[in-house]
Amino acid sequence: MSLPILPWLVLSIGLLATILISVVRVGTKRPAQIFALLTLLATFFYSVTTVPSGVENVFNGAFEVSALTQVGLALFSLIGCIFVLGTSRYLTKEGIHISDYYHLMLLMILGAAVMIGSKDLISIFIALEVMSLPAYTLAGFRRHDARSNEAGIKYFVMGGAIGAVFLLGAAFIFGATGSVSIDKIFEWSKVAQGDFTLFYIGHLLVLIAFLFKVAAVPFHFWKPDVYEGSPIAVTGMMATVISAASFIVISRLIGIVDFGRIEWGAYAAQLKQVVRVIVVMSLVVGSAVLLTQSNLKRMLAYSSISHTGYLLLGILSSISHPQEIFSVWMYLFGYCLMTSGLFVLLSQSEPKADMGVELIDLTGLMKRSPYTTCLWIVFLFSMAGIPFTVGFFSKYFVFLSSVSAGETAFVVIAAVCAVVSAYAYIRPVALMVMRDADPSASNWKGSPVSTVVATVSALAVIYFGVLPGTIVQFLKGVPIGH
Amino acid sequence: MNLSYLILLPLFGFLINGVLYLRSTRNSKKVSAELSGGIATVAMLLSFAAALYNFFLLRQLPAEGQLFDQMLFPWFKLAGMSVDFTLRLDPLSSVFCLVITGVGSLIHLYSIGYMHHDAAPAKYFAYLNLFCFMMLNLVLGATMPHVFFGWEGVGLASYLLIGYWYHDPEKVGAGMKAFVMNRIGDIGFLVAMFIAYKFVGSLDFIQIANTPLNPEMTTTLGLLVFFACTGKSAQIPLFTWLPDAMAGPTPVSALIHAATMVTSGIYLLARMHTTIEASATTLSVIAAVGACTAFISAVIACAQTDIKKILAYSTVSQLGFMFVACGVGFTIAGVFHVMTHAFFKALMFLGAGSVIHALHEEQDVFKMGGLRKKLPITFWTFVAGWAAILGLPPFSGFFSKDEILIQSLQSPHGSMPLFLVMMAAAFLTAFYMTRLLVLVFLSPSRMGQGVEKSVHESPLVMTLPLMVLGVASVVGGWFGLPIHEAHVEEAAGSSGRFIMLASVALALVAAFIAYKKYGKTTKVEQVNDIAREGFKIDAFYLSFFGNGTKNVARWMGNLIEQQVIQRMIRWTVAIVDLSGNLLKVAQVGSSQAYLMMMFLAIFAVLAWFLFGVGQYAKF
Repeated sequence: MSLPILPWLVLSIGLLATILISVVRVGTKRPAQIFALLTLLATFFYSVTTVPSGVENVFNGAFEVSALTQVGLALFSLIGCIFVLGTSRYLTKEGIHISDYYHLMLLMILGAAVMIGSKDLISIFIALEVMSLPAYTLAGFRRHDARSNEAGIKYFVMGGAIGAVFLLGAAFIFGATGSVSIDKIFEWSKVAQGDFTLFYIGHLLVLIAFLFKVAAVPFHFWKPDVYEGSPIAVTGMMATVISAASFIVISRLIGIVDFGRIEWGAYAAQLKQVVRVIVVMSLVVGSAVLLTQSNLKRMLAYSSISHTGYLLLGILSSISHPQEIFSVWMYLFGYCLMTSGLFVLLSQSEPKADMGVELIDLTGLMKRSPYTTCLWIVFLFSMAGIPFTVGFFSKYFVFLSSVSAGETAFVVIAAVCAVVSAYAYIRPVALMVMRDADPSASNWKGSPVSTVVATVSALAVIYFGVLPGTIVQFLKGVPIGH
Repeated sequence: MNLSYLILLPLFGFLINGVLYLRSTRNSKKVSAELSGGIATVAMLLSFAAALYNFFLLRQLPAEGQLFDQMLFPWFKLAGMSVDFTLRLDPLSSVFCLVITGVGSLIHLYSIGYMHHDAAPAKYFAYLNLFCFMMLNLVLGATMPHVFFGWEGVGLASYLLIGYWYHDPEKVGAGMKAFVMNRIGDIGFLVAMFIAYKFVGSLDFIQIANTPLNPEMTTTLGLLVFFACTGKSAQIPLFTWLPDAMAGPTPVSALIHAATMVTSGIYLLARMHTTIEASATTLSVIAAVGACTAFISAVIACAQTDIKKILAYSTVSQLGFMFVACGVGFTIAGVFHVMTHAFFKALMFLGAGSVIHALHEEQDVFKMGGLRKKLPITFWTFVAGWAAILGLPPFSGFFSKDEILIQSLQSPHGSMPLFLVMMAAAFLTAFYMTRLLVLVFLSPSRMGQGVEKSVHESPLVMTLPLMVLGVASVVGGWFGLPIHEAHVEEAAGSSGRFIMLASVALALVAAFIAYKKYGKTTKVEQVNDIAREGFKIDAFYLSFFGNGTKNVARWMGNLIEQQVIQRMIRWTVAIVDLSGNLLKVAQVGSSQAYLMMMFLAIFAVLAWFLFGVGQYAKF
C-alpha cells in the first residue's frame, strides 16, 4: 500500500489515541507521556524511512509530500521526542506534568507539520491556527504564575491580530489572482499582465504574518515577554518547531511568484530592499540587546531574533538564486539541534519561587557539575558559530550563499553582529568556568534521561560540525518547490 | 609518509589529560604535574619524532616535487567544489612543524617544573596539547577552511591559557581582550575566504596561487589576509593584546605568544605569497605596517619595567621585522627569522620564567639584579639569547636579521626610509635587551633580604630546555633554512657587507650605552626617576634614551594605546550598550502598545514598499 501522507496519519492517530487514553484513565500522566513518545517515534520512523524523491501532490494539490516536508516532519517529531524525554522532570517540578500537556504539544507539532506541506492559502491558515492555538494555551500553562498568564494572553492577542493580517492578505491575493492555490497563483504569475498593486499588498501582508511568527524586527515585541513567561519546555518548542515551520512557509510564499519574469523585476528589487532592512534590523537589535540581558530566557529570545536575521539573509539570497535556499535548510537544521539541546539544559534549573533563571545562577557550574558544563559550552559555542560545531557551518553556508547572491555588504554586517553576539554567548561560559558559585545561585539538577538527551544532541552538534558533508549533500538535493 | 600521527598525538594527549582533569574535579584528588606533564611531553616528543621523520622523507623527494598531500576524510561539498580534510607537507609547513613540535616539547618539559605547585596541572597540560594540535592543523591544512579551523582553535587555546589563573579578574580581562582582538582580525580571514570561493572557485592554496585574478581583487584579497594576520600576529592596529597576554603562565608566553601562534600571520603570508606579491600596494602596506610596529614597540619596550612586558614588546617588534621581510617580497627571510626567533625568544621567556620562579613571582626588573652568580645556567643561556637577538655573529639572529635589513634596502620593493627605520629599531632592540640583561643579572642586587636568601637555580627539568634552546640559539642560523628551494642567499655585494658591519657596530654601541647607564643601578627608587642618574657618558644619546625615550614611550603608550585604541574600544562598547538599552526601553510590556507598534510597522513597510515599487517601475 502506498499512502504518501502515512507519517501525518500516524501522528494524527497517535494524537487521538493520546487524548483517548487520558480520558479513559483520568488524572494520570504517565500513559499519555508514553503514548506521546511512541507516537513521535513512530512518526519519525515512518517519515525517515519513506522519504520520496520527487514531489507528490495530494488532496487536489492542496498538500505536498516531498523530501522537504517529510524531513521537516521528522525534525519536528525528533524535537518532540527530545522535549518529552528531556523535560518531564521539569514539568513535574513546576506542577504542570499532566496529560493535557501532551495532547496540546502533539497538536502543535501536527499543525506545524501540516502547515509546511500546505499549498493553499486556506489550508496554510487552518494549519497556522492549529499550530498556534495549543501554543497560546501552553504559554499560559503555569496557571498560578501571573507572568505565565500574561504571556499566554499576550501571545493570543498578538497572534489573533496577525492571523487577521494573514487573512486580509490572502483575500487581496484571491482578489488579484482569482485563486488561493499556490500552484495556480504561480501559473498566474507566469502570464499575468497589468497592475499588480493589489497582489503586492496581499503578498506582503501574508509574508508579514509569518515574519511576525519568527519575530523579525520590527514585528518582534511580543517575543521576549512570551519567552520569559512561558514554561521552559514550551518556550523551547516555540523556538524550534514554530520558527522552523514558519521559515519553510516563508520560503514557499516567496516562491509563489515567478521572479524570473521581467514584469516582476521591480517587485523583486523592492521586496529584496524590504528584506534587507529587516535583516539588518533583526541582526542589530538581536545582537545588541542580547548583550544587555541578564535573564537567560530573554537572552534566548533575543538570540533567536538574531538567528532570524541570519535565516532571512539566506531567504534574501534565494529570491534571485532559488538554489541557495539550501543554506536556510542547513541553518534551520543546526539551529533546531542546538536550541532544543540548550532548552533541555535550561530546564534542569531549580529556580527560587517566582524568579526566572538568571545569568548569575550559572556561576561556578564547572565546580558543581563539570559534565553538564561541558554540554552547555558545546551548545553556547555552537550558538556563537565557533568552528567544530554545527552552528559554524550554519552561518558559513548562509554567508557563502549570500556572497554568491551578491549580498556581500550584508555578509559583512552579519559577520560583525556575529562577533558582537559571540561575546554574549561566551560570557555565560566565563561565568560557569571562571567564577565561583554566587551564594544566591540556584541549584541545577536534571534527570539522568535529560542529561542523556542533551548529550546526544551535543554529540550531534559536534558531529555535524566536523562532518557536515552528508547532511549538506542531502539538503542540496531537496527539490525546490514553489 | 603518514602525517596523521603528527596531529593525532597531541590530540590524544589533550583527551587523556582532559579526562584526568574532569575525573579529578569529581573526586577532588589532584593529578600530579609529573604524570599529566609526562603524558603531554611524551605526546609532543613523539610528534616531534614524526615531524623529523617526515621532514627527512620529504627531503629525499626531488627538489621540484617536495609536496605531500594526505586526505584524511572528505569534509563538505559545495556547488561544484569539494573541500577535504587534507594535510599538506611541503618545505614551508615542514619547517613550522619542526619548530612547533621541537620547541613545543621543550616547553612542555619545562612546564612540568614550572607548574609543579599549580592546583590543576592536568587542565594546563590538556590546554597546552590542544594548542599544539590546533597549531599543527593551522600549518598543515591544505585549504583555507582547514587553516581557519586551526586559526580559531589556537585563538581558543590562547584565550584559555591567558586566563588560566582565572581568579584574577585582570587576567580574565586579558584573555577576553586577546580573544576579541583576534576575532576582529578573523573577519578579514572570513571575507578573504568568501572572495576566494567566489572568484577563484576553490579554497585550496595551490589553486588560489595558480589562478590569476584581476589586480583590484588581488589587492583586496592580499589586504584582507594581511588584516587577519595583524590580529593573530599582533601588528598595528591590533597589537595591544599581546603585552596583556603575558598574564598567562610564563611557559605559555614562551610557546604561544613568542614562538608559534603569533608567527602564524607570517605563515599565512608565506603560504599565500604569490597573491601577496602580485600586488605592489599590498606589499607596501605590509612593509609600512611592519616597520612602524617594529619601531614603535621597540621604543615602548625601552620604558617598561616588567620583565615579561619587555619581552612581549620585543616580540611585537621582532614580528614587525618578519612582516617587513614579507613586505619587501622576501618571505623566506621572514620564515627564517620565525625559526631563529622561536629559539631565542622562547629561550628568553623561559629564562625569565626561571627568574620569576626563583624570586617568588617578582616581575619588576628594578627589584632584581646580581642574579648572575645565583642563577648561572639561566644567566649563560640568557646571554646566548641576548646575543642572538642583538644579531651578533655567529649567533642565529645575526643571519636572519641581517638578511631582513639588507633586503629592506636592496630588494626592488625596499627603500632608504624603510631601511633607516629598521636600523633604528635594531638599535633600540640592542638597547632595551641589554638594559634587561644588565638590570636582572649584572647590576648590584636590589632584592629584599628575605627574597635574596631563598633564591636558587631552577631544577633540571627547567634548566635542560634552557640549555637545549641555548645551543639552538647559537647554531640555529648556521645552515640557513633547512629546505632545498630556499637557501637564504649570502649577503650580496659590498653594500651588503657594509650593512652587516654597520648593524653589528650599531648593536654594540647601543649595548654599551645601556650597560653604562644601568650597570651600576643600586637602588629600587630609581624606578621613579631614571633620568636623574647616568648622563655621564654621552649627553646626547642618554638624554634621548633616558628622559626622551621614557617620555616618548610614555607619550606613545598614552596617546596610541590609552587615548586612541583603548578609547575606540570603550566607545564601541558604550555605543553597543547604549543602543541595547535604548531598544530595551521600547519593550514597555503592554499588549496595546505592542499591537500599535506592530500595525505601525506594517503600515510603514507597506507605504515604503508601494512607493518603492513605483520608483523601480519608472526605469
